[in-house]
Amino acid sequence: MKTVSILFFLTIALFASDNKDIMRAQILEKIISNISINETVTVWSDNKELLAELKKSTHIITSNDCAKATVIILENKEKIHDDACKNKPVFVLEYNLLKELPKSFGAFFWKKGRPNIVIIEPRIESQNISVSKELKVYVEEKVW
Amino acid sequence: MRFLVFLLLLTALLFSEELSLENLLKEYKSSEELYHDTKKESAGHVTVFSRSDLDKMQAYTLNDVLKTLRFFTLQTRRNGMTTLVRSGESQMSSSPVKVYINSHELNSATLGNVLVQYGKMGLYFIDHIEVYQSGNSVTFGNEPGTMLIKLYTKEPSRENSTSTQASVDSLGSITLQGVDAKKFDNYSYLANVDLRKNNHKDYTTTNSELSRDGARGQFYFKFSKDSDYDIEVGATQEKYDIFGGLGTATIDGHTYTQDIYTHLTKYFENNLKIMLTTSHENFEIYDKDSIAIPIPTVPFQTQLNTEVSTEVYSAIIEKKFIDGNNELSLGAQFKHQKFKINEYKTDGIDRAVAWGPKDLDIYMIYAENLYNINKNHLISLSAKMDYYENEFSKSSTEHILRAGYIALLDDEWKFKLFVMDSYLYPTFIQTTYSPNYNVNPDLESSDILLLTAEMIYSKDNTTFGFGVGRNETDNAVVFNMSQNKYVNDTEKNSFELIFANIEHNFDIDNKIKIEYFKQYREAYYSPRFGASLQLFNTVGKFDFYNELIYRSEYTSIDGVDMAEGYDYSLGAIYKLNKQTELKLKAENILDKASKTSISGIDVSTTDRRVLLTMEYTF
Repeated sequence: MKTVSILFFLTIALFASDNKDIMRAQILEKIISNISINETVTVWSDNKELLAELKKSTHIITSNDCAKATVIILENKEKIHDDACKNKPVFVLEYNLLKELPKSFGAFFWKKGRPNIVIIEPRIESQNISVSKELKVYVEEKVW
Repeated sequence: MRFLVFLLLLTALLFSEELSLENLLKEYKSSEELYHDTKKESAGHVTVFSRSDLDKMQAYTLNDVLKTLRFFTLQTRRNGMTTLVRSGESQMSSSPVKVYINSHELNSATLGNVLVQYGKMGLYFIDHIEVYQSGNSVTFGNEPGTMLIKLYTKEPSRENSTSTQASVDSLGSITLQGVDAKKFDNYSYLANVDLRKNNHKDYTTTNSELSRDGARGQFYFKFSKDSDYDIEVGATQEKYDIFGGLGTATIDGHTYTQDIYTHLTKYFENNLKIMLTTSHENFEIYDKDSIAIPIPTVPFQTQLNTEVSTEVYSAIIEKKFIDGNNELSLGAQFKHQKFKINEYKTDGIDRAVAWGPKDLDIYMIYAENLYNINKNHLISLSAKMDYYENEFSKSSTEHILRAGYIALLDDEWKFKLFVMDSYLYPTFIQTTYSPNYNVNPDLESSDILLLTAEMIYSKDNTTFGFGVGRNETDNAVVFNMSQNKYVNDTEKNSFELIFANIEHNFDIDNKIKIEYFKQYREAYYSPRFGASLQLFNTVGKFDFYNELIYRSEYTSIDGVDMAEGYDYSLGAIYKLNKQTELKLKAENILDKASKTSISGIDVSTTDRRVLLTMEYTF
């Protein structure tokens, strides 16, 4: 729906807008690379654009098959069909999914016009996930 | 000056943080600001107040933003309301400003000046504001104005929260605001309630105690289905003391306004949309004077009771055709305005007055074509034809022709040029009804020729802008004091303008904006030139905002010399935790903001006050 004029004449804004998926991937890459689990962290996401950006990372390993992943980044809960995937640690992109998915341990979401990160302490403990010092500031005791 | 240097040095010490997760989040937030999707460079010379700007400015009302705009000065009116006055002009001049909430134009049919009724509007539900000056795009629809202000509401998918905010100030004002916004599946809603008791500084004259204290309530609700429809409902009610009133010795009185609107936007495939609007406004004045109120029909009256209302119905259909490098927008609009005079009494007696035409139909068609010669050059051509017909069967056909050229000359230089042949149609308060001067149903519209150009240079984190313009008005609608009514001026009015600004981003959290403007015309009844400085800073959990608004000295239309104004405000926000923010703002700290002469006293629009606010988000 963007007008031609916007496309051509807001180069700075457009540059920023084009960077949307890249920046989102950078943030998620930073989050994932700051958690550790008992096995090698391999990421799968139902968001294909995001997964494509994450594949470019030199810091994390990705998979096209959620069954082979050890951490799932999820935007839409309907996208997990495979039973093999349902019990894996999940990092969600909507806050409400934290309430709906018991295996979700953290979220990256918009609230009050700002992007937020939250890590749920009881859920990382129950899934033997540890987080680095940089993520500690985002740790909360419960899902609101 | 020393203070300014101190602020700049303080700002310069705040940078060079490593790219932490927190900084990445800030970069992401900045790149996702909603104005990137709505700002239309081809629509005019645009100034943007982003969500982040408005938050740091602690812009609680529309007036907090309006007072910073170049070429305009915020002034208090005799009846206690406020308005924007274009540089050099008086409050009686006819320079309508258009205000939109999303696609809905706020009703200004009664007064023809929407800022009078909406200046104190709370902004808690607003995400960002775009201000288009000089040569607005015809695709915004409705009748043309001299400036267009677009308020965009918060996006529920970005909110997902309920926020409340309470403020008190040193004059005893109290404000309570709430915003609730959620998205669920394909649906979303946004609701806003805003209640406030506004206290202002009182003034004493020989005959009166002048007060403009009042109370205001505001409600807004939007319900949307993605890519299908938006339903918006807005309502406000405001009552306040009449301040100087219409006479010279006011002893009692108030102004009481109410308005409600509904706006439906339906989206179809292939860039087609339909918008339907209804709005109703009511305006009541009670004024009691110990000497006399200058009423044209009957002399020596000491009390006025009047109530008027306006209903507006509007339907718009718009279609866009996008083909390669070309975008063509076509639109048609029908608007019906019905004006009613419900009461007009002086000294308790109904007065029969030969009012002007009360019904007005407007039929509008418009087209705008944007063509990219290549990726760096855009040409915009627009045309609009508006047919007016009023209750007296008086009709006229008006037109707007507009051409624009925007170029990215290289990576650093940008150029914008607009030529516009437009018009301004007289308002109800000029042709039909006025409580204190004669109406003129024979008024014709004025013709405006506008030429403006702007050069923008950006390098690294700094942007310089410089603009010039010329405005010629034929048949201008001006107030004639001897006839006590608005008339068409037989002489051509013209003025030239220049402006320059600079914005430097020290980093993602810290920036400075400086702007200067000046108008060149024969006579000046308000500040001829002005400047502003805005400094936005973040240090740890604190946000700081410094603002200095300068307006030059001037001689009012009554011949009173008014001093130059320096309105300095300082704000600080402390983020206590994720849910709570404490905010402190001191306005007009120097008590030297630009003033207006009312009943022989100099009145500052911005009171000197301290404002304490607490915000809690659930």
